[in-house]
Amino acid sequence: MIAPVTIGLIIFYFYPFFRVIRDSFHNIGAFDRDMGFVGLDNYVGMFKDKEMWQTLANTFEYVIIIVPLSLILAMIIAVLLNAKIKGVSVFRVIYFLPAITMSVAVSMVWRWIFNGDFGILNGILGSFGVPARQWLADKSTAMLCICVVAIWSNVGYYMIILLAGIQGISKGYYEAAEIDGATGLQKFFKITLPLLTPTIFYVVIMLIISTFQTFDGIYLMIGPKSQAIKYTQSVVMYFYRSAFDYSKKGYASAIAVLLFVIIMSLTVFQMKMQKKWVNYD
Amino acid sequence: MKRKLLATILCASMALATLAGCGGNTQTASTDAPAAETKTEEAAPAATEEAAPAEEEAPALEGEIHYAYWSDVLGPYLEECKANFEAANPGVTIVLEPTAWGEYWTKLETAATGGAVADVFQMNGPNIGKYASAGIIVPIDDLVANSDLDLNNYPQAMTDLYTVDGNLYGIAIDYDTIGLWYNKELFDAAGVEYPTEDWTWDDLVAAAEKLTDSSKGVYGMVAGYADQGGFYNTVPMSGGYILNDDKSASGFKDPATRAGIQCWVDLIQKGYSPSQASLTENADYIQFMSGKVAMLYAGDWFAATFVQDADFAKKIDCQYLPKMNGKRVSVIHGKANCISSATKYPEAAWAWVEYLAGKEANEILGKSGAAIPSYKGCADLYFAQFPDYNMGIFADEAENMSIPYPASKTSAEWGDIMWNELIAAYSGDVSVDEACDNIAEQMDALLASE
Repeated sequence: MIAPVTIGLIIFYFYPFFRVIRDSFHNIGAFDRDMGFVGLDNYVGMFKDKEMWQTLANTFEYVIIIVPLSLILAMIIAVLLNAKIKGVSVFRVIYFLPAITMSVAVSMVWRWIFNGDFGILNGILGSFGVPARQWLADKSTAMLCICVVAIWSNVGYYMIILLAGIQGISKGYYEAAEIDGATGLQKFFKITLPLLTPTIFYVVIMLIISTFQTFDGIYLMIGPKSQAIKYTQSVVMYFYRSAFDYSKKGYASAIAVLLFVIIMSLTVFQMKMQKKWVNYD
Repeated sequence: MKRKLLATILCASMALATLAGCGGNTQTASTDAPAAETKTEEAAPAATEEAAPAEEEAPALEGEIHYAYWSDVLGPYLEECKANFEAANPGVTIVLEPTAWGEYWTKLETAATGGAVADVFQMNGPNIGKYASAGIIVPIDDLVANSDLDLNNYPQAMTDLYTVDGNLYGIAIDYDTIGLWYNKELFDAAGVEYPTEDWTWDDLVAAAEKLTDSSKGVYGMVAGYADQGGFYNTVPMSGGYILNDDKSASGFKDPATRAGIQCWVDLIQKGYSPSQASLTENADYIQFMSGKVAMLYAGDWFAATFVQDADFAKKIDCQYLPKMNGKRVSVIHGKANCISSATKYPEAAWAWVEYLAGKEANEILGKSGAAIPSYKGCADLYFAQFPDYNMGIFADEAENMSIPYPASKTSAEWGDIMWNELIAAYSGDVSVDEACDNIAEQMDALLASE
């Protein structure tokens, strides 16, 4: 019964996984020509590659901006949508829509919003006298645009997860708190937040992993042929460009392995740290 | 705890595997590459031997030939060629596989890597060296020699471009040169005389200044990063070069080369051109077509795109490139058809290439108005499609003032280097000198490795 799944896993996950590790020690060029074992050359090359350092800095910047903002916004909206307001399910659907929209469609629409010459954003800002700018091609604003879109896409999905967590909290706690005269904020910080920590923990881990792997928004909104790409590309984007634009597949594999090591160590670290703040009743 | 750690590792490894998934086809790497090479060597002579009798006895050719190409305006021409070819060769089916320009090379390389590349595909100057030296395409010298094709019917520059290490790999489909396109309406509005044959670069700059009207958001000229449609023309005019004659060194240390690039950057810095950022977001010809820019360096093939907008088509015309230092040159380039070394039907693939190279197919191409047919004497059919434009300049430039498209085996790589360094110069982040120093260093190292 589990054979199909296992075979799928082996073909599409385990084999490529080990293959990438092997390839990262080889010099592989265009059309996958293997020019031999090169030891740690690809890794040493990464150290010397200024673009790689810039890329790492970009990626951490994405994580630092996108993860907390997505979490906080998702949390606020989840709490608001947990209240007994009219048409609450309509709002839930509206907030969840970005999560089920194709990222290609999302990126294309946002690209037009941000477009320097024909975009809506410049049109609106222009009516307030703000000069037009090339949001996506300007290296000082391009990253901000990517973050805005990423957060906007993230919030709905994680809001639903947090909302489910909130609804799993027993009503009894709140009733007891009300009898004691607790305010809304007190209830949130003393009851909701502590009891929601397992869900928050899950959300943080997933957010960090997915943000480290940011790719489609950058590929579709900035693109490999923009001068802003160096200042906005994530590790995955640089991996893609190295492998498919520059045909350096060995080097690209080394980049992928590095990302794996970063994500794994961060996740292990979080697992260790969870004792300190995650509350499993 | 152990279980959690295991779960973590699994999670993270899936994350990595997702990445690897993009490069999924890398599998076949080392094992297939040598196989493909030997196949090349076998396929070529085999095809030659069999192609020759095929000509005389005309036994029915068989097979399904996949043909990959990028230019969407070629669609009608190829449909007609396909119909004619299939009628003459009932055993052969041609499958047309168009791909958008932006994805064409990535897709082609991935397909070639996985051994699933089209039997015949379009090639361009920057990539021919890469594909030929990797053995992805087969040399066709013998096939041409045993056929009725006469290479004298095609521009010499095209035959040279598709010759690598003395072997011919492709037959030109078309050729193109660059001209100065201008928007008459904007010239009239600014009271500037239309460009003439005698224009120099200084005249262009002076006109660009008068045409620029920042209150209306109108610019005189497009001066963003462009190689074929930009500095590949001005660099030789100012006395420099991209690649020396024996392809052993770049010309980016030469001050004359730098002058041929600086002239573009100057236009941006003086504000006569949209910024590089603006041109990155909205391509030059789109800005030209939206009436924001009065002049554009662009190839003849843009005519087909321009006339699709009937209103706009009436407003424009084209002129020779302005002279610099009393000299006028245009880089000449063209696409070619190449045969995959992995094709199962080499005879049918060659028959299709041969048909496309013939006079009939070239006439169809000319009448379709998609590109200048490479076959001698067919160019006028193409120009006749655009009677309102001064199209003759493109043929005159090709015949009398063209220089070959700079290409070597590592063109694809140094093309990336040029873009990477110069885009920063065009954006005003670094000086042209600094960018050229960096290009010279990296490009010379690459050329030395060829």
